[in-house]
Amino acid sequence: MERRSAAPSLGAVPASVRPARRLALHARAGRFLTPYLLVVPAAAFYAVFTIYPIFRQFDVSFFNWQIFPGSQSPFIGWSNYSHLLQDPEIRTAAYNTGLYVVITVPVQMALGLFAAAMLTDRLPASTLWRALVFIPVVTSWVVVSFLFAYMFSPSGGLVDTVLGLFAGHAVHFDWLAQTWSANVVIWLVGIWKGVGWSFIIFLAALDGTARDVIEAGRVDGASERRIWRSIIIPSIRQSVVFVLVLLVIGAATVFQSVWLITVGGPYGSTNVLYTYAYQQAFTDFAFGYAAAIGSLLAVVLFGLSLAEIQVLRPRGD
Amino acid sequence: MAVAIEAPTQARLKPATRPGLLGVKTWKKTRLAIALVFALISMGPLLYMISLSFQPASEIGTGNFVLLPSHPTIQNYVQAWDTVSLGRLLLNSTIVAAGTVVLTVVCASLAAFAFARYKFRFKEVIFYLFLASLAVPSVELVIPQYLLMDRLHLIDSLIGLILIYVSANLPFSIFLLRGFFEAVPRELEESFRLDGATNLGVLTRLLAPLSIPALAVVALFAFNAAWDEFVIALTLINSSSHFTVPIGLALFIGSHTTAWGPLFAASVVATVPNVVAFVISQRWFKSGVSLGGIR
Amino acid sequence: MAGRSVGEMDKLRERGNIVSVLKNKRARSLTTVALCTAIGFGAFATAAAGTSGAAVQTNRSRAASTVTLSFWNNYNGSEVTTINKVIIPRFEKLNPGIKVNSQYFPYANLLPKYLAAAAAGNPPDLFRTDIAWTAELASDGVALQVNDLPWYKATVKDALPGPLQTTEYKKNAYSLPLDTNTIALFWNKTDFAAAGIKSPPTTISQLISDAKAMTIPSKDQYGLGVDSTDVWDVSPYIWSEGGSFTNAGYTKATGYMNSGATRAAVKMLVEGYDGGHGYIGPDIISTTGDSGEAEFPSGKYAMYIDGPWAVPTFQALKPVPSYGIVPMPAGPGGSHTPTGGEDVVISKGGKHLADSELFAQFLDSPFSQLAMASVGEMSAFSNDAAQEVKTTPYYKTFTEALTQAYVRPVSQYYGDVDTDFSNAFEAILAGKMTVTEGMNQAAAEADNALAGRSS
Repeated sequence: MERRSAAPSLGAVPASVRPARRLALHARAGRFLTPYLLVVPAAAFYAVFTIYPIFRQFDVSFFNWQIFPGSQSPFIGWSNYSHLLQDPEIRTAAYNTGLYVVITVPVQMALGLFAAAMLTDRLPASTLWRALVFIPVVTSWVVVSFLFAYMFSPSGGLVDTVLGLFAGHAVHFDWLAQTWSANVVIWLVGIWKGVGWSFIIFLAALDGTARDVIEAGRVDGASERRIWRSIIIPSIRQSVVFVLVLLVIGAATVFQSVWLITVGGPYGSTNVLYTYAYQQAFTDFAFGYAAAIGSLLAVVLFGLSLAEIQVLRPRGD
Repeated sequence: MAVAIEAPTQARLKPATRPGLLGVKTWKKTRLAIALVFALISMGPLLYMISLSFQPASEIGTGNFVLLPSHPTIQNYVQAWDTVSLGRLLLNSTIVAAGTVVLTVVCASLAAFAFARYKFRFKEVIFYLFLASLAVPSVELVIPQYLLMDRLHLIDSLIGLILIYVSANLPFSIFLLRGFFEAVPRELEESFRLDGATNLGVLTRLLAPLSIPALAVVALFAFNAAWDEFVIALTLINSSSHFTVPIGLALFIGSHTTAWGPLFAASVVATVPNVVAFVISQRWFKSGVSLGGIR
Repeated sequence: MAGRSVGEMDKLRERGNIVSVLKNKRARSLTTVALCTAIGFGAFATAAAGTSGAAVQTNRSRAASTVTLSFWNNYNGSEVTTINKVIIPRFEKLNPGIKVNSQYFPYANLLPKYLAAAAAGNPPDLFRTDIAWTAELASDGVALQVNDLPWYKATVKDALPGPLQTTEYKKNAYSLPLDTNTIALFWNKTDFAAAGIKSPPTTISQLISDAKAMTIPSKDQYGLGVDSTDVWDVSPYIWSEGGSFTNAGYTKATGYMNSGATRAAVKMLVEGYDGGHGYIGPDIISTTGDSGEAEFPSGKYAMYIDGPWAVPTFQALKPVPSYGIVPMPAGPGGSHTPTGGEDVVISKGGKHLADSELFAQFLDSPFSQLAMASVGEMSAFSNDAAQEVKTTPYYKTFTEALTQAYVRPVSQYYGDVDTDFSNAFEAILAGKMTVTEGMNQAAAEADNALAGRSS
């Protein structure tokens, strides 16, 4: 049942190591490790606490699910999904989610790449700068959401005060009261908190780019732009795809910042897909519908991830 | 060709004099300025939060903007400590985070090793199954997980949280570690095996020490995920003696008013472990990410 | 392995030898991993169990026939102290054999938490619910019906009309009033003095003329602040004008939300706002605007409507603003403000119904009501008013207003109705619709909402 990748090399082993190899054979024969055993702990956790709930959720999406003991949950087939397609509030939520992805992901990547290019080794205290830029990534969404809500408050908020300095008169703009400005706050939180992550990944990628090839190109008289375009960018391509996939998933599944800052308000106009689903479940008690939203989005994102990973994986290790 | 002759010469230069990515003296001052701007923007809100945590009640939340408190006070910290039993919260969060980190690292390492070094049936299927859940945020599964935990009698227990968090962190960790293990040169491992090392020996004596960078990354992310998680913790935990730090933070938001001062004081205290964990792991971070098969 | 130097080979072999020396432990190494994991589990289990010592003790005492009730709420600060150190000890003294465990949670996810527990069949025995949720909990069958219980009539004998109405669903009661609040008119004495107005308004027409007099654009000062277009903030004006939102059974909005009186009240507010050039400040179009934070204390808004919770905030400011509180000025419909507050629900799925009923009754007793009133949660009973005011003088205006307070539509669809009304009102303020058009649309949408069809 086991297939040892080392097995084929047996014949090529020099004589000097043969005695040790006999021990090795012995060891292998007595071994009972299989790859499945190794995967079991992780798989056990995962199957019970992630896979099972996901399937349960998917199952629930086909019912008008009442969660209280003793109440009936009628089977309604695809009704929840068809309702999904007609619901105007879903369109708002999908629109906001899409906006969030389209705006925060490229900005995070661009800023991250820019910062990575700027903050290379040759800078004094570069370790310090890098650490400082990354720290927002390790902060908690809860902490940051409350902080930003306070900074953008209309009375005594940092942002309005600074704007007031520029405008010359007191500014009491209520950021969280209009849809567009509330969205701006949410985007800023996402971008601020996320830039450090793509920064670090691009930094590693840029650092790893073969310097001699770059230098060869430079010596050859190529312009900086040409070097970037033909040498650097292709070699960090994998990182770009990796960052892109994860950022898109993270952006499409954004929840905490929206929930804590606006709760989807004003009047559900800043809802993203998952805050809307959460509301449907816990405010409107439409658990089946909420499950449908979650399931559909998961399938879409899963398909997207699969496609991207296929692009990423077979580049050779 | 001129290139073939010049390049090796360049490569043999000592690192200190080898030109950087953008050339040695290119825009150094500008880059420094840009670094400063990035650092300022990244740290600005957090520094402001620290300032807020020392502002007395007469200055904070009253509609006046105060950058630095005129009468800094530690009253907020005292209040935060008392009203939500911050000490207890920190203890609980530490337990949960530590448990999550250990279990995630162990299980993910074993699984990643299997994926990296073995061929077995359904290998890729299982791998993609792990990755599939990246598309589902944990908050979406709250009700099924609650019902499950109830049946396992793990409601209101920190262990329940650990189990869910570990499960949520496994996909990314396995992915990262698999890439990392696959990047370790096979020859090293060959000689290890031929000298009698078992597979587990290879894992613990060769790969583990080599992969401390990647393990540090995995540990850091697992720590942060567990330390910061709010929705599931709130739903599953029923007694205040089991509250974790994020729940405590939300307690400062009352139905009518918000206790901003203590909230920010507690936030500062909550963020310190995040920063400390990062600083500790920072040494190995960069190399861990680059070898994680991402390139 | 071609290409390696001899030295490298030796080093590797050495490492390998160390491995082979230890190889006797190879079979144990997997066990070691498993053991470590198990130990790790055990350690955390102990730690977690250690922190749940209280729960363990509860089980023991239950075995000794003591019942422990769980009471979930979102009390904080001094409210927690009051419930834990004043109310519960007294109850436990009067009822030996029953213990109460009051557990507080953040407000943000309190209802989802309760629902999850109810879904699992383990709801807390008692639950402090926002009055807006009672109808939902009733319609879902999680709240115990109480009006047919023998002690009910006596307990709610002196309950204020507003709070009592919030406990009703389809003509039955599913919760008990727990605490309440309402709002009144705050007036800035400095602004009034500067405008030469000696006393605050008592009628709506006085309110309007005073507000106009105190609107000074050059000073960025407005006469009146209305916090939002929500039903909560707008209802005083609607009701005092004689308007309404729905019928008495909360099933229909057409004919009420778009009635002549309601439209008149809306028209008054629109004229007051006048596209931003009137006497009503810009807070009205911001749904999270809070005049009480900055505009009122600083005098930027001369008047606005708020609840008793604003007082401690103002007292903490430096300098303390000079202000007074009076009831909502009266109009053709009288003077009416909305009822806020919380009810207490006994979970139908709870395990100790009889004991829970005892505690619920105790929460409604004057002792408990007054204890909570002294820390900001006003009593829901009229016979406590005098004592309340003695302890907390600034409650006076609010206790009076409570006797006249109305309730917002008591329905599990209230949220949608509120949204329909606010959206339409905002559109009218922005000039996108006339008052008639807007209110007709709001009424039609609210009809849909009340019928259970989300619009």
